[in-house]
Amino acid sequence: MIIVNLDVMMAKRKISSQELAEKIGITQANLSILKTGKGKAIRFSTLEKICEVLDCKPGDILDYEKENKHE
Amino acid sequence: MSKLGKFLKILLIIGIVLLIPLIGVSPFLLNHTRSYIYSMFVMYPNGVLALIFVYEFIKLFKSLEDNNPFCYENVTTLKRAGIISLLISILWFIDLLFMVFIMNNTYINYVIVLVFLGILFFGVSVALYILSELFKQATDCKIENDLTI
Repeated sequence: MIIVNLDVMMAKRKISSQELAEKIGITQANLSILKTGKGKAIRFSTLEKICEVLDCKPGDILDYEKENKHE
Repeated sequence: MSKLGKFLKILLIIGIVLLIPLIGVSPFLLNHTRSYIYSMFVMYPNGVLALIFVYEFIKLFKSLEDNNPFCYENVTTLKRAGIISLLISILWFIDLLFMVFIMNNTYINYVIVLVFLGILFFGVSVALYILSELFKQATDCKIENDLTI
């Protein structure tokens, strides 16, 4: 499964949710969906803006972990 | 609520208001004849099911008013309406069998009307089932789209 590490990166860059949402151009509610991992997909344009604002690569925000089917 | 929604609500209220005294008065009017027994087992359930059918559509209009027609509640509403329509269709066929074999009423026009009603409601139930599946897939698509950031 894909894990979103956006809050870790935000903490590193010391940026608040409100500021990031404003800079990316999405609502805080949508950013919250993204942060909590409730989102189903992310547009390349949004990902590009996040990387631009946080000065990072997509791999710093997104991570992959093998799902344990027995759980 | 939209004009059609209001009309359906009024129809439901009139139906309920007429249904209750009708159940009480019918035995005296029909004088406990075979028609009364027939009404008890075919026409009353049919009437009640038709009212539930209208009620389901009122719920559908309410969600249309809220600008949120693609939700899972509407899928279940349509599915329920389809099942009700199927039950009405079955009742019409029972009515047909009752008329032909027990009441010995083989008046061709009556038989044709009953067969037509049975097939019509069966068709409606199939259409509603397909519509509910359509709504389900549309809702899935909408949720996926809503959760794409």
